[in-house]
Amino acid sequence: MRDVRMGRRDFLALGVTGSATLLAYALLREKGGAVLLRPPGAQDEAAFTTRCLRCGECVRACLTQCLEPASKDFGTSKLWTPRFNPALAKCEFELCGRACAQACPVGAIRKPAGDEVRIGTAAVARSKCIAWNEGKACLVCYERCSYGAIEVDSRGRPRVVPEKCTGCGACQNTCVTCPDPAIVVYPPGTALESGGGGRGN
Amino acid sequence: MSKGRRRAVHWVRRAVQVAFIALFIVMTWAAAYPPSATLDENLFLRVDPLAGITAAWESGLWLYLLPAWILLGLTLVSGRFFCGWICPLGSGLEMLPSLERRRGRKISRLRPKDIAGRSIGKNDLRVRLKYVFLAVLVLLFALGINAIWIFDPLVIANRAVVFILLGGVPFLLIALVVLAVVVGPRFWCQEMCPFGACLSLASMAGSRLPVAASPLTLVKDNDACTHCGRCACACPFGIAGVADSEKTGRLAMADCALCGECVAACPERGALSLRVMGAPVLVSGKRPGDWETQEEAIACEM
Repeated sequence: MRDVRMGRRDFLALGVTGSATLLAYALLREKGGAVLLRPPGAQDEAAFTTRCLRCGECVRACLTQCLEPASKDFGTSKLWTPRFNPALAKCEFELCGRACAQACPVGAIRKPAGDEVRIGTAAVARSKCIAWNEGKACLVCYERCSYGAIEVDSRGRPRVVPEKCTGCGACQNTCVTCPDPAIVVYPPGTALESGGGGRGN
Repeated sequence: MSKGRRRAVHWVRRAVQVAFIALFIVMTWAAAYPPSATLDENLFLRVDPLAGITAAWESGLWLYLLPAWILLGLTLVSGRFFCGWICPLGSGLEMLPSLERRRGRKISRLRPKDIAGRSIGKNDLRVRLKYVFLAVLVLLFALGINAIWIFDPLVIANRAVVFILLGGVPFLLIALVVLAVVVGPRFWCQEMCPFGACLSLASMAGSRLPVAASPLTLVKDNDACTHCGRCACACPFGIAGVADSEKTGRLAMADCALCGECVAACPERGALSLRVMGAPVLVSGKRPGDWETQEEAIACEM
């Protein structure tokens, strides 16, 4: 609000700028680098976090409303970024015309032509799955998968074929196990055991 | 010019501001599925130079910047008109009831050097917090951290609308509302907003351009000014009537939002005028025919 003379106040402003930058850097720097499930076309986590404005347009634009602003549990650097939550809905990237990518005002969610989608990879937690654990004839995830990414063995137990899985979340969204689904989509880069099983929550 | 006509600028501006707030909310609302054939998202977010640079970074999406470039170009010739007339967040904050407004801005509370008529010296530069914020954002961006989402007014407003539609709580918007009510309606815009700092820098760069080349300017005639300070009291942005350039007579270009409140408040004929391409559309004071009532006006309490 006041006129200041260049020189000493300028120096002060520089000092404030420097220390504020350091403070913000310490607060917002990515710690651990947790990877979240992202809308299709935003799987480069570091580039996406840098570019995303957290404006909420993609969350608003989504056909199935499967996106939610990430809570503070995922770290300050990821706060309010769009997180794909298969518990809300499956991602209908083949039907919606990539509404989230179209809505993004800064092009952080890309819409590559003819590129194959891999939001993540599903994995069955055998300790929770009733087909594995209790020998029950549950084939809900197998039936819901549009990509033939779930195979069932002779005893009716599901396995994920990672090469075919797009991470759309239909299986997790529909899994009957309570309270946590026995089949869960993991972000790309998550270490999964061979055969897509074994890993719990 | 009658007082009613001069006050009209206030209500015209309010109408424009309300229209842009409504447009902003409608555009965010319309971002829901299915995407529009003409415009997929809120156009306001592309007007933002900070967001535009984010888009262009690494990806080379310079076309995304186009509306931002247009705004920067217009700001270069016309100053921060966006802040005074268009910005939905700033407009909303300005219309809030404010403790500062309740106390009233009194000339006695302003220091003499704040009052109209002082021309700016060569070594004078307002180093406001907003420039610090802008520098911090740029430095962080160079370090690979995007902090625009915390400080950008249009992003804050857009996210607030989305959050409210989702049933969430827009914390940053609430913080800004509290700031506006407690400290001042335009404190955020004038002292903190990095978007405003961008526009201030652009308008600073263009402050020497001739008035006739500008679609909208505030011009001050130093000879007609009696240094009464009413303009400084009326200014929602809290700037004093200081001319940036003796040559052009443009008024405090870097921080002025061209709202015209000072023109409406000024009692001196022709001391302040709002001009479109150099032609006055709103002139302070009274018409020559109104001179007999001038004494009454002077006798009026401030």
